[in-house]
Amino acid sequence: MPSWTYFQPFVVSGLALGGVYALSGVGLVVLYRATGVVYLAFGAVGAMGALIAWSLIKDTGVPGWVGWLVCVLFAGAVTLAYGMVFGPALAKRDPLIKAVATLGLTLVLFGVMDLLWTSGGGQSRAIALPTDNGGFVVGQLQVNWTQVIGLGAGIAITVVTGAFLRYTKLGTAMRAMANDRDITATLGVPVRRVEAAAWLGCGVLGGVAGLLLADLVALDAMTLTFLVISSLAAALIARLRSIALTFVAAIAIGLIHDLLTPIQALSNYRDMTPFVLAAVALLVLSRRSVISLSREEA
Amino acid sequence: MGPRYSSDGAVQYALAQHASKIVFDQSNVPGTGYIAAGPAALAANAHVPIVQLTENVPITDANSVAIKEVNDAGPNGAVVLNFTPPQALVILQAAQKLGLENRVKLWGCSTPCDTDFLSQALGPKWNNKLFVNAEMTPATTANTPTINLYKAILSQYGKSVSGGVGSFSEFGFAEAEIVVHALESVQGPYTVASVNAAIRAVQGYNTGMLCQVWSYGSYPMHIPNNEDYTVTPNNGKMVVAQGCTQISSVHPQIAAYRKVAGVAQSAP
Repeated sequence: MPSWTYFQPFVVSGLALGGVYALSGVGLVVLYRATGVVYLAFGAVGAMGALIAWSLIKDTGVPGWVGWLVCVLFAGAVTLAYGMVFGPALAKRDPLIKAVATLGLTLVLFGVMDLLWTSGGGQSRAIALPTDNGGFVVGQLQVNWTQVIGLGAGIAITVVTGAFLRYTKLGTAMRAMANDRDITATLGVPVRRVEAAAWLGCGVLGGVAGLLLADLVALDAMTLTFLVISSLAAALIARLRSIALTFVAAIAIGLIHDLLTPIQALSNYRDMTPFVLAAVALLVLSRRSVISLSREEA
Repeated sequence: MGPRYSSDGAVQYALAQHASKIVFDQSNVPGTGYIAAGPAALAANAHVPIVQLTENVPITDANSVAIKEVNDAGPNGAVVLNFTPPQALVILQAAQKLGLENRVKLWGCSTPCDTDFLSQALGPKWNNKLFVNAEMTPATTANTPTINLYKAILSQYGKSVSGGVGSFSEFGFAEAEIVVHALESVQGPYTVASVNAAIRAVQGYNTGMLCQVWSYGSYPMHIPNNEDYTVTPNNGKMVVAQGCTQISSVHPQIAAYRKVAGVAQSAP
C-alpha cells in the first residue's frame, strides 16, 4: 500500500474534479426541482460547446475569452431551446420519459460532434486555459489555478444557488414548482418563465462545466458527454433534492475515484466509483421510505 | 512492426539513456500481456526495474494517471506510453499542466505518437523531452523522392485523413508501394496463387521509407521491419533524435526471426 505522501497529489486532483462534478450536479438538481427533468444531455451540450470554442480559437484565431463565451452561450441556448420546445409537451409525462427524451438530445449532439470533430484516425485536440500555467506549491504538491477554479466554482455555485433558491423570488418559485407545478401555476407564478430560467441556468452551468472538464480531463466528445454520469450519481445520492448533499457527494466521488488510482489492485475499477456510491446510497436511503417514481398522468 | 516491438524500441531508447526505472503504461484492452512481455524482457536484461500499468480508455482522469506514472518512475526513471495519440496527448498535457514533465528523466512513446498532430498539440515544452519510436522514416524532415511523393499524395488526396503526416499514414503508403511492386512482377493473369506468390517473392525491396530493405519471404514468422528511428517533438515537428537502431535481440521473437531471416541490409 503506498504511503500517505504518495496519495497527496491525488487529493488535489480529486478535489478539483469533484468540484466540477458538484457544479454540474447542482445544475442538474436545480433543473430537476423546477421542471422534473433529469437532464441527461448536460454533458453533451458542454462537450459541443467546448469543441466549438476549440474550433473558433484554433481556426479563426479569435481570442480565448470569445471562444469560452461562445461555449457557455451555446450550451445555454441549446438547453433553453430544448426546454421551451419539449418541456411543455412533456410536462405531464412520467419522469422516466422526460429523462429519456433528453437522451435523444444527447444522441443527436453526439452524432453531430462525431461528424464535425471525428475522433477517428488519431486526431488530437486540447483546450488550454490561461490558468493552467500558474499555480503554487504546497509541500511537494503542485497545484495549478485551473484546479483551484474547479473546486472553487463547485463551492461558489453551491453556495450561490442555495442562497438564490432560498432568498430570491425566482428561487422561491422554482422550489414551489418542485412541489407542485399545477398549484404553483394557479397561484399566478409564471411557470413558463421560471422553467425557462431553470433551463437557461442549467445550460450555462453545462457550458462552464464543459470548458473546465475539457481542460481538466480531455477535449473528447465521448469522454465529456458521459462524465455527466458522475454528476448524476452525486445528484442521485442527494435524491435530486439537496444541493448541499449534492456538493458533498460530488466531492466524495472525485476524491475516492482519484485516491484509488495508486492502488494497483483497484486502479482499473475506479471508474465504477460513481455507480457504486450511488447504488449504496440509494439502497441505504431507501431502507425506510418508499421512493415515488412516477407521477399521475393526465 | 506492431505495438509490442514498437514499445520495445521506446523502452530500449530509455534504457540507452540510463533510466534507472521504467514505467510502461498502456490501454487496458485484450492483448496487453503480450505487448508488456517485450519491454519486460528488455528491462530484465538491463537489470532495470519495470512497473507495468494499464488504463481504461478513454482516459477520464489524465491528471491522476500522470501523477501515478511520475510517482512510480521517480526523478531518474522513464515513463513509456503505448496509447493512441489522443490518449497519449491527454496524459502528456495533464503532466505539463501539473508541472510534471521534468520530474522524470524522459518520456517515451510507441509509434502511434509519431504524428505531426501530437507534436503540434504538445508545444515547445516537450521539445527533446518525449522520445517516440518511429517505425518509418520521419517525413517532416526527410527530403527523398519517395517521401516527397508520399507528402504530395497525402496533400492532394488525403485531406480527410485525420492522422496527418506520421508513421501510420506512411504505413499505408509503404504497403501500397510493396503491393504494387509485387503486382508488377506477376507474369500472366492475376489470381490468388499468382498474387500470393508475388508478394512472398518480395526480397530486399527498398521502400524509401524504412531503415532496412524489406522482404516477405517464406519464414514461419514475419518481422521484416525491425530497425527503427527515435524521434522527438521540436517546435511542432517530429525530428530525429536517434537514427536507425535495431530492436534488441534480447526480445526472443526478434532473435528467432533474425535466426531464420538474417539481418536485412540497411536501405540506401
